[in-house]
Amino acid sequence: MINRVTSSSINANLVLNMQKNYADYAKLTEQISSGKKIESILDNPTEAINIINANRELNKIEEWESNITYLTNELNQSSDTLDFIIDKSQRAKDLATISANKTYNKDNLNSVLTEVDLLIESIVDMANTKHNGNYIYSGVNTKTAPYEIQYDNNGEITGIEYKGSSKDNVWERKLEISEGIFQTVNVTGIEVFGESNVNGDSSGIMGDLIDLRNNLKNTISKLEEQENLPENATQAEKNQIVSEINSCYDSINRLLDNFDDSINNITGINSRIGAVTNKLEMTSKALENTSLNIEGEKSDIENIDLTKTISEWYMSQYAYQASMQVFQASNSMSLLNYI
Amino acid sequence: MSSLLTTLGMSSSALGVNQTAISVVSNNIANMNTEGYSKQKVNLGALFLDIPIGNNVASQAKTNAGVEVISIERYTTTFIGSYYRDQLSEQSYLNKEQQAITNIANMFDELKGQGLDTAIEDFYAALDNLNQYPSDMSARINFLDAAQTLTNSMNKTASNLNDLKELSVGDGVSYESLKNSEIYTSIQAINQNLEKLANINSMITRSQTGTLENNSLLDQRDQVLNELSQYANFKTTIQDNGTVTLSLNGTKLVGGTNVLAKFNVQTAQQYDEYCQMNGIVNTNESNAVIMLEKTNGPTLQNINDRMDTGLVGAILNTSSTQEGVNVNTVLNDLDTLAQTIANVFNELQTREGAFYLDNAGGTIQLSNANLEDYEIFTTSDGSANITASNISINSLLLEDGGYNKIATAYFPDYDPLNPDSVDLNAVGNADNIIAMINTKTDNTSAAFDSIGNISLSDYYSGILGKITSATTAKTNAATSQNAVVSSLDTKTKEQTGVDLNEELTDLVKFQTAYSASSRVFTTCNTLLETLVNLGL
Repeated sequence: MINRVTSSSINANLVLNMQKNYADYAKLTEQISSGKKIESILDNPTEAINIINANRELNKIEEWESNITYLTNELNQSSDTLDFIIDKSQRAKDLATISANKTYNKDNLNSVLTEVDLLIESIVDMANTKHNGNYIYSGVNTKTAPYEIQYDNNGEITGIEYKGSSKDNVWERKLEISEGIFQTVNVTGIEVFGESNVNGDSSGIMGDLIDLRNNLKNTISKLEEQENLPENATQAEKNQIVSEINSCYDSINRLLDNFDDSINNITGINSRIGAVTNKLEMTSKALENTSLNIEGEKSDIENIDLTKTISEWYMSQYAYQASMQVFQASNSMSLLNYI
Repeated sequence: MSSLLTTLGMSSSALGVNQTAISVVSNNIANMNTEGYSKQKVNLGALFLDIPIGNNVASQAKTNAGVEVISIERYTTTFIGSYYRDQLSEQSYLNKEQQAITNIANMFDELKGQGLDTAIEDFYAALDNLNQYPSDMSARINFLDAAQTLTNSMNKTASNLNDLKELSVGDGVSYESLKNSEIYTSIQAINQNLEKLANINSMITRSQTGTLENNSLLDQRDQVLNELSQYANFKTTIQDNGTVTLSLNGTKLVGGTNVLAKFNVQTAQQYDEYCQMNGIVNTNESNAVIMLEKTNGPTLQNINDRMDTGLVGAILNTSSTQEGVNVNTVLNDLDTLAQTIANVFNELQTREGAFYLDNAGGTIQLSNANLEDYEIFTTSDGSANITASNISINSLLLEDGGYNKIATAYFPDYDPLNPDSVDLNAVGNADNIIAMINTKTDNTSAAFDSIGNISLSDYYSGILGKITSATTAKTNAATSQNAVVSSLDTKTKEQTGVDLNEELTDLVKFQTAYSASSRVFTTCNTLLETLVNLGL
């Protein structure tokens, strides 16, 4: 027996198929115009979660890259500062060498002293360098200048005091550069330059500078004493002064090794900073690669394959046209035309 | 041998019958696009007259007397009928569920950049920025802004979810809100259809079977039953006289010509009051409670658990506390997320050894001096429990200079008795912020216990995953059910629908028969005339 087919069932079917074809066509049209397969979580829930995860990863990487930029900038500034200070320290050492070879007279030494004072001021100035408004070398006491020059009542420099974080307490400033890994950005001033404070703690280049200054001062005063020695001074008194002056020169001479040690310390730290900068550059490249990979995966999920989609679009267009044609043709067919 | 007059009678009956047949055809054609109309067909039968044999009245012989309409038959699909209604009920249940989950999924559409995920990411990004510039005012304000965006977007999502819930079952307290809910309108619609059904039943009993009138009443009856089945899967029993008995879990709703029970709906509060008055243990968790008021008999106060099919079942499900993904369970998950966020960051903010900037911004101060004052997250309504709806930023932090109260610094060796354990100049100490950043990956602290010691993002991903997989599952279920119903629809239309070609053929057929009958009538008439003229 032939199944009964009625006008209304044929009609309903035709309309249903037309709607289906139109929906396909409309969806593909939208995809092509936006370039995306998945625009809403409802388009494909499972893949949408993957896109969300990819976005999360990309956001994180962006953060890390911004941190790396910050780190690199500060480290570069720090490295430039250290280069400058090494230069100045070298000059201070040269001055010490010249002063130690006994050829300078009192006036010469006085001008050396003036230059040493200037060197101290400019080195302290550089050690008080800021990055983005924060002192680089004061540990986490970022709003406190790490070094303060101490003067006595006559305006003479007596010490260089360190005011930054102590190495024994919290001193590190750290930024995240990849999942859970924090890179320390700073070195403390006390570690790089040392200090010379009222308690008599003396270390590093700062200690050496003050020592040099004190010894120069001593030498000058001894030379003055020798000049002002009364006519009737005994040979023993004269010899005494000469030996005192010699011992002053000796202690300046001994400072030379200290200068070398201190400069080496700064150079060492500077090359460590260089190593960190290199490491950051590599991390940044790795992050960039990861980011590109994720972008690629995300694009595979999210974006349409234009060639494929356009050919599908043509197909759906044909299907839609065909279903409309069938509707028109079958609707015009009726027994009414023949009776 | 039959007489000429009998033949005349035959042709006249044929004229009448064919006229009826043509009117049925015309009714079919007129209703070819009427929803729910079933094609009707005239069943013809040969008409016999009883004639006495000789003088014996008792013994009779049949003689042909033309044609008669035996019945006007309605094309039905009774075997599909109840199955079709089951499927309709299932369809409206699944479609409603799909609509509900789609509404929720839309709220969590991270791809449109309006979800919570972005807010959580931005919050951590602000922490990272604060780690770069711990003593910087703009970094601190930026962090508070991000935290506020996070709480705002939690509040907004929660309020949207609550709106959805209120739209389906009311808020559980106000009757006004119940009256604007979907459950109320559905119950009203069911009641109207029950009335309609009883009415149709009574008209059916009064009309004669096999007539146009009766057939159209049966069509109406089926329409009402189809409508009712979308709200809930009622049990229908068709009686021999064409009336229908409707029942729900053994309780008769419509029997014969009467409505025996009507639905009503009350708020959770009203039901709770009823329970307290009657000493009943209230286990209800829904905002709306459906009751069944019997015409003769006690009212059933809570039949929610019986209403688990059709539209009504799906609406009740949207706010069920049972397992599954619905407004309630998602809200609960969000509440847990809100609590965890508050616990994690408040704990770090106020822990021993954490320090914030003093007002001048030059030195730091101990942060755990007065715990509540320095928490980052509090409730906006003063309640002790933090939920997604009420989580907010401590207003003290939003006051002038309040941004300084974010505890950025942390000294692990802090000893209250030893002032040297802390360097009060350490404004650049961001170790507490680093600890906060670390909560992205380190989730071992007790504050994370409530979400199973996973990260906030992972927990949120879990919520998203549940929502999206439920969306997929429910969309698939609804789509396939729609296909089932649409194929049944087509089948019904094939079996009971009007086909124009068929009707036109019938029309021609009956027209021909009518013409032929009238020719017979004329011929007969001429013969009779000839006969009459014979005598002249």
